[in-house]
Amino acid sequence: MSKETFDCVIVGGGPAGLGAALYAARDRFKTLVLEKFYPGGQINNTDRIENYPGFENISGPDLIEKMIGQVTKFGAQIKHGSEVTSLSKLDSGKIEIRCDGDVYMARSVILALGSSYRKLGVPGEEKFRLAGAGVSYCGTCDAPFFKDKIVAAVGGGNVAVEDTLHLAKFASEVTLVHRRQGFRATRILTEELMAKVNEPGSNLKLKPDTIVTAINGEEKVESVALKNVKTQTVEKLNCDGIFIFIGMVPNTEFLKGFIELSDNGFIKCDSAYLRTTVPGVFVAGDCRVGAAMQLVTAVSDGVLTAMMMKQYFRNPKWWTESVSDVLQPGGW
Amino acid sequence: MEFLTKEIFLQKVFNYEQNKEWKFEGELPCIIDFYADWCGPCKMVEPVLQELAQEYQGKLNIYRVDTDAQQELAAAFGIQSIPSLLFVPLNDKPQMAVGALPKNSIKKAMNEILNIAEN
Repeated sequence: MSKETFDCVIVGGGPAGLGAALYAARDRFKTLVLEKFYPGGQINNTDRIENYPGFENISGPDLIEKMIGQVTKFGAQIKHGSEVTSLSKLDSGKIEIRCDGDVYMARSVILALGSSYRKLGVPGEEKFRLAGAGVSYCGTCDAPFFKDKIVAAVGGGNVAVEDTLHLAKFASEVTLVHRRQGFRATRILTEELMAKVNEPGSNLKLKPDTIVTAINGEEKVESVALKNVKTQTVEKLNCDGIFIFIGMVPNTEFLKGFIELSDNGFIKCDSAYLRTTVPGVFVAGDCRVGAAMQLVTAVSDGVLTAMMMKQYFRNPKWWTESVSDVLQPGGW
Repeated sequence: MEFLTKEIFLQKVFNYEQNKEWKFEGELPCIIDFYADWCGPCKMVEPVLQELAQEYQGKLNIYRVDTDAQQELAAAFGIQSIPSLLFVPLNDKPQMAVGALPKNSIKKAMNEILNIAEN
């Protein structure tokens, strides 16, 4: 059984984890990234990134490949297919990380666990999701299977709008169901959506102020039940599939009892230095309280934690100090 | 990992043109990964399958079906969401698992569905 010690073990190989790994490894810290699948996380589902500075348009997988190349060049090890099952703080101050039969020791841990698709929680969702029979959470992945079919989409954020526009390229008819009137998505995306909706003979329709209450069908999705939240009117929308884009939930279940989580499962931390309630354990990206859930801010979180890790190594007592406006000894 | 075309599939997995009932043509249990190049989660599963193919060489075959190039095969299995992994045991009906599974979950399914003990 491996029990190798690292300066820095990063749990999660998405943009936050790779951002942390870049800075930690480039600073010659012995760095290991443990990734449950293969690096990338949610950003792998995006085929069009236009808001990462320096890249006018790049796909998620392409950007991740570049990030992997960059961090490994500086010596970070990435172990994919490694699911962390538990963490514990030892008397020595080190942190023990258990992972698929392997055990690693770390002076510091950065939790960059990312998040998973939030479910609607309505009847029929789980049945058709498990059967691969018309419930999907990834427009980029599954839109081509709905060529010339009728689909419903749910949500009002960036992913909902972007993936609904993508769906409209394949499906004969797309109805975007949103529980409110206005969209949370950025204006540029909302404008693109509205332009498409207002095209003569558009295959894209909106159902604002409406929620999905059930997903129905025999062997596959045949319709969804809708309810207008203002008028309480109910209706049936016949469709071959439903795409659910209603945000994310943090992947923090296994940390219960080890670290303090918010009621919604996000990891509690101080927003300046991203210190969690366990000394030596930082948090970065979507899984922390107050995350902006953006690619850039995830990377930024990762970088910040790798820098703050040095401060912790210099002075472990710093962990319990309050946020200071004094530049730390020696700067960076 | 071998890529399956319709012809190879009929020969090595299931000849659905000749048989109505499931009849596995292979000599080893197999996993069939239905994927597409545009699918990010599929890219995350691929290296894990590659590792398993090496680790369990001689005990199972791992095949891949490009759902874009092999639309008839994808339609034959009613694929509407990828990645989808079809676990095919030697003497029983196959079972489909939808979504990206971590390595441990794939190993668990290999054990439970394919009767392949962990190395």
